[in-house]
Amino acid sequence: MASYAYLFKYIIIGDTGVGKSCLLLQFTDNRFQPAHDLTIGVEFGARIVNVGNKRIKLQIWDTAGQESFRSITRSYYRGAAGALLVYDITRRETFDHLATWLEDARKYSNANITIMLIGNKCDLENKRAVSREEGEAFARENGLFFIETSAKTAANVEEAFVNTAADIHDKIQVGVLDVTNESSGIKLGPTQAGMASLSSGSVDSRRGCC
Amino acid sequence: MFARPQPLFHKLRHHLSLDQLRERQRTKDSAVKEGRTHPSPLTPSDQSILGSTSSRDSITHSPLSSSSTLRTCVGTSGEDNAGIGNKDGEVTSYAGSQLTAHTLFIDALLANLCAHTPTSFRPNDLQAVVATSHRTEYQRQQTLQLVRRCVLHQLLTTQYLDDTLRGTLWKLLLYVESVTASDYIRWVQNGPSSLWQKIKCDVTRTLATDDEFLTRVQEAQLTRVLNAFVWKSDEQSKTVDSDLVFTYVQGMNVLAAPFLYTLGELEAFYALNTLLHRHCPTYVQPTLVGVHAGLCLLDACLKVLDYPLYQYLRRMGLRAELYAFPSVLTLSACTPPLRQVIQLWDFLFAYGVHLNLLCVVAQIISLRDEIMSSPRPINVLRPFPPLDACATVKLTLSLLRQLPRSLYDNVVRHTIDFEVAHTFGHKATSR
Repeated sequence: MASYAYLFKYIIIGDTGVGKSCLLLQFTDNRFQPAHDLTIGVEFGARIVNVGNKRIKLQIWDTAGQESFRSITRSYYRGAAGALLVYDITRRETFDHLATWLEDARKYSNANITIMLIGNKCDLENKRAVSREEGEAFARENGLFFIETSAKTAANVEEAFVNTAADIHDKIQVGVLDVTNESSGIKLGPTQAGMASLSSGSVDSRRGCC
Repeated sequence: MFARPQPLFHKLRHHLSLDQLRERQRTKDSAVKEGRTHPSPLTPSDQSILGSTSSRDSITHSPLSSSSTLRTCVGTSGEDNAGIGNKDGEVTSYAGSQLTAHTLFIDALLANLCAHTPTSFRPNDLQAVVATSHRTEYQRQQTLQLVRRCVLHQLLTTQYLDDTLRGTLWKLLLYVESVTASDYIRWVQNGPSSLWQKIKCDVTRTLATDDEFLTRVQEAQLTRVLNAFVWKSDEQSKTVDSDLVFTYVQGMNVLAAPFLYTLGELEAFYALNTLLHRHCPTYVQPTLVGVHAGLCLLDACLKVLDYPLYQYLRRMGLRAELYAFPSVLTLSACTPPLRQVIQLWDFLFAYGVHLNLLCVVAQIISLRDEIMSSPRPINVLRPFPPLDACATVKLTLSLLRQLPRSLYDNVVRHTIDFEVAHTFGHKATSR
């Protein structure tokens, strides 16, 4: 098993068809797949990234966007350290629904969750329906990080995931997040578990789906 | 009791709305007294040919048949059990020597089927069956039972049913009552419904990597069928007083796909409509309550059928909800190849779509070694490996016998009975 210092759980949320699964695939596999099936329930991905001099494993829960799946999505917020809230810059309504998504995220996740607002499909500049400034303003008003990405060209995809991880890491450093509390969405990796003299074996391998 | 002789299709006019269904449940005892019977997706004798449950004499297989009716019927269908070996709790898990018991069971089942059904199902046979006049409900049920056995026999002996026959067969088994072109055309001519955009967006993400499907079925067809379903549901909600809400929900696009692959657009629409309204209404409510119930029951089934595997998955934090949601909601249609899905659906339509839960359990159990030796079992389970309909059905039949009566009863009911769906569905979502 590859060693890492921490495991962070992420959840990707946002309206159906905004490109959540494509962002995940681009991040984990470095590819864009135009032909893919819609997500039913939840799918998973994982990748190790470097933040500073630490290796951090990201365990990502990619959720279905449609209203019908909202009841289960809500149960996935718990225990997430980071949330990627995605809208489609070419479809205004996906931006208009952000408030509802944010309300859910605030209500069902832990208070210290890091939320990254993502305006996806920024390669489709000629179809843009939401300006960059609007996205920035929404993020500023609600205390979110903001970035525009393209899952197709891979622009800013890496940054979206890594910047979120960096913020979570900062919160650990300053003591805002308690790594021993499972609901924080953070677990010690196999390299640190021994040092923290926790139960035998790797903390990660005892529980966690991917 | 003695109706005018009619072809089988015309006799299949027993579509019940859910309110009627509930009403039937309330009045089931009086129905038995009057000797009325209702079509059931799983008749008692079919059930016994599967040798499915631990207790043979008092299981309610379908809300449409009362338990006392079943007691009588199961009692008289002893011949179907010959050679199957219906011992309770004979197999407790699929480790080691238990597989031998499974193989022996399937051999016995096949021998039994061969003794009672034609060896193959030729076009003429089915046409003859469809054209046969049936004077009584009993005769009709007998014929349907024969059809079901033929389907099972073909599946277990890996004979691929002719595609042209399959369409007729599905309509027969699903109880598709009428196919009215003028109504469908009207709904199509209504143009885009309120969910048109969403549907279009999902249609492009339906079996998107299956070339055979993409060659045979046009995106426009799938869009029209789903869009017409929304119009039909809107129309119905104005005329029928019901708490139930039928509209387009994600997953329906996948459920529609095998129908369009197998039937013409018009018939596919009506077959899909019948499947959703009659066989799995709880699955397609906006809350997906029946799917949640199914996932909860799936965990319960796995716990009984393979406890070590269940325990291992739990320890890894894996509930059925996390790995089996697509398989339950789409009746396994999300797992390629489509040709295998279609064969699995032959079985589900013949014996009841609730059996999909057990088919999913069978798929998981057939992966048990890989799962138990993997530190990250989700990678084994997402996505499921390619479907093998024959192997899945064989294992399903064997597993069925081991389910406790009460659990099996809930499995049967959860796709159509809202009380059961809410009991288990809410348990799942309030976790």
